[in-house]
Amino acid sequence: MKESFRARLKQAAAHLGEAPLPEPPAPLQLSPEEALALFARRFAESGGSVELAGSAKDLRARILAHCQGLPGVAISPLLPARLRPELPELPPEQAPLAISVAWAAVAETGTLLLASQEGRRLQLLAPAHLVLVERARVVASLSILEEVRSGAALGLHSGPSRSADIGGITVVGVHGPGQVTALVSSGRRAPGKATG
Amino acid sequence: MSAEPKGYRERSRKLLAGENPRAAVTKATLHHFHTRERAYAELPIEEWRSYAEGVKNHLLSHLEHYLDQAERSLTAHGVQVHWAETAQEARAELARLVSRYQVKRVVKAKSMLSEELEVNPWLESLGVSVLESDLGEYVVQLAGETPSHIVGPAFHKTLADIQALFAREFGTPPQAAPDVLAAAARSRLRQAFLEADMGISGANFVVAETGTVALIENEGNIRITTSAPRVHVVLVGIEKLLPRQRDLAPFLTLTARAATGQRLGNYVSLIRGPKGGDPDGPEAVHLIFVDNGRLRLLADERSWETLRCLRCGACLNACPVYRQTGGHAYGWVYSGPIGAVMAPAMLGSRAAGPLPYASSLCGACAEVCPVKIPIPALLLAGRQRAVLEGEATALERGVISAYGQAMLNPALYRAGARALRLGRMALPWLRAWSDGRGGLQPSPKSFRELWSER
Ligand code: SF4
Repeated sequence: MKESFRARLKQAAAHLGEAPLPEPPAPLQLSPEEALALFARRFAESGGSVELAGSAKDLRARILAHCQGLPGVAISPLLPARLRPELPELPPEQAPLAISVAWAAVAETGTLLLASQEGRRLQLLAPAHLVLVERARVVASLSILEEVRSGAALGLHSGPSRSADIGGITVVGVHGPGQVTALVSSGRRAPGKATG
Repeated sequence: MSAEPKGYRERSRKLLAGENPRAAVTKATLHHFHTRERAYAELPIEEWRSYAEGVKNHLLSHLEHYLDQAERSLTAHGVQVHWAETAQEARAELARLVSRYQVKRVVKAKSMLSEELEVNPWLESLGVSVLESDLGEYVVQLAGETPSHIVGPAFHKTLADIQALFAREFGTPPQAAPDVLAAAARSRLRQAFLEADMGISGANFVVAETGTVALIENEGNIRITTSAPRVHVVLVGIEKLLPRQRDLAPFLTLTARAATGQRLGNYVSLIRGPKGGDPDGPEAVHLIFVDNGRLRLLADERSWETLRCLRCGACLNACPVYRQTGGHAYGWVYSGPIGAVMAPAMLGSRAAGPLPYASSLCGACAEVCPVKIPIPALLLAGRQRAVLEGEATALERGVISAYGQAMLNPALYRAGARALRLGRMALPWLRAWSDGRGGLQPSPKSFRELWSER
């Protein structure tokens, strides 16, 4: 801080008394099943879709179904080899679909947490976004942000890109993906590792 | 900062004469008012508001400590921190960065502070092209206007206004549907994102403990602005800090609920530094802490409370006066109730002009404010200040001093009250009072008469 600034700051704040620092309201607590159900409901409410994979085989089948008929896809480096579709990889700005792996998901706000280590353009530039999330990583409360201590950036995605700036009418896909799907794995095996 | 609150009356009159802005603003603000109500109802909202008020009060009373801590944590992950005491200093810092990184093209994410600092004309004067990427802000930029609302810059524009604007600019059909208009903007902005050398954003919060910069939005333009260009510059007011990482979650959701009635914006960016080993992201991140009058607010025994403001716009949406005119009537970047209380302390009573009077003191703003800023009390303080600094109209000054004398003298008080019941608005000083306010409705009998008839 510049010294001239510090001096003015000290003077300006001199009249303020001591104010204690309160604790945040208690975070929401839910069982894993409740958290998953609430996440699915809230994510859908803000315009996303949710799919639950019954098994590892089903997970792969669902990924392939999303890729059906596409000339190529953009793929997260965090996606395990066994789940990769056999399609050409395209840069995110040219791909019709991007596949990400979430660090976690939050039920109360219906939010996917996406680490920048898989690439941010991947998360933003394709018109459709498929995001894998491990079932065990679906948590109840946004207070999970307290655990985020590393990484250059974390993106919280709670639905498609949308705007109501044109006459108050909602349009989707304004800058980012217009379609976003959360694909929740069965949870027996982690789809990949990412840190926040 | 170019501020002309003085023309408030004339501008309001003009805005009220035209149907479009008034209808558009009323519709947008009422919509957001109701969505906020629903979102508040899901929480023990009083507990949340008291917590948020408490955190910000603590922060402001320890601002030096937290600014030092924030500077250390930001620097620790490679963010370069700068300090600007005035708008000129902030603009000079930007100019240095523009030349250091040889910037030709800038893409911006909506930031009220950048409006306050008049960043766009400054960058253009340096030969840099600037494109606003928020759809509403882009509309406003195309129309050559300024934002009329903290959260919805184009709240004053109807669909028909935007159809006409886009038909002129891009040749879209005159009746084009909103998604066609959005697609036209998208293709132009997408190109700009990919070509820009620098992205400029504001910040909703900077967490002192971890040096995390948080930004809330719905469109994704902030995420792209802070990710695609090779340099990211954050402009942030010194009051925007949060002490701890665990304050982030409640403040993010409280802000979203207050602003748009969502539990969270569809996109939140939490930024800690340049890309490091990531596949993409900016190579350099700079953050400019800006004072530009905030320390003057902090030093003010009443107005310091406005520094808790989260810029959620809830008080604008709740204000029956704002709803009629929209933000342009107020004549500076911060409009509505919060603008009217910040103006006298930041700009001085002379420049703030009639803004503290642009309110019926109904109290709706204070009821919705997520950080409990006592706006009506501060409006009154602003009026008092105008009187003390000799900026109130002569008649208004007369009313206030006559009122003071009458209250101290029982005979005068009785005579005045009687005249009021008989003559209603015959008294000239009452006309000064009732100008722009609803008429007084005196009771047919005085309190003393009712008391003696008991
Ligand atoms: S004064 Fe309160 S309600 Fe108004 S914008 Fe600021 S935080 Fe929101």
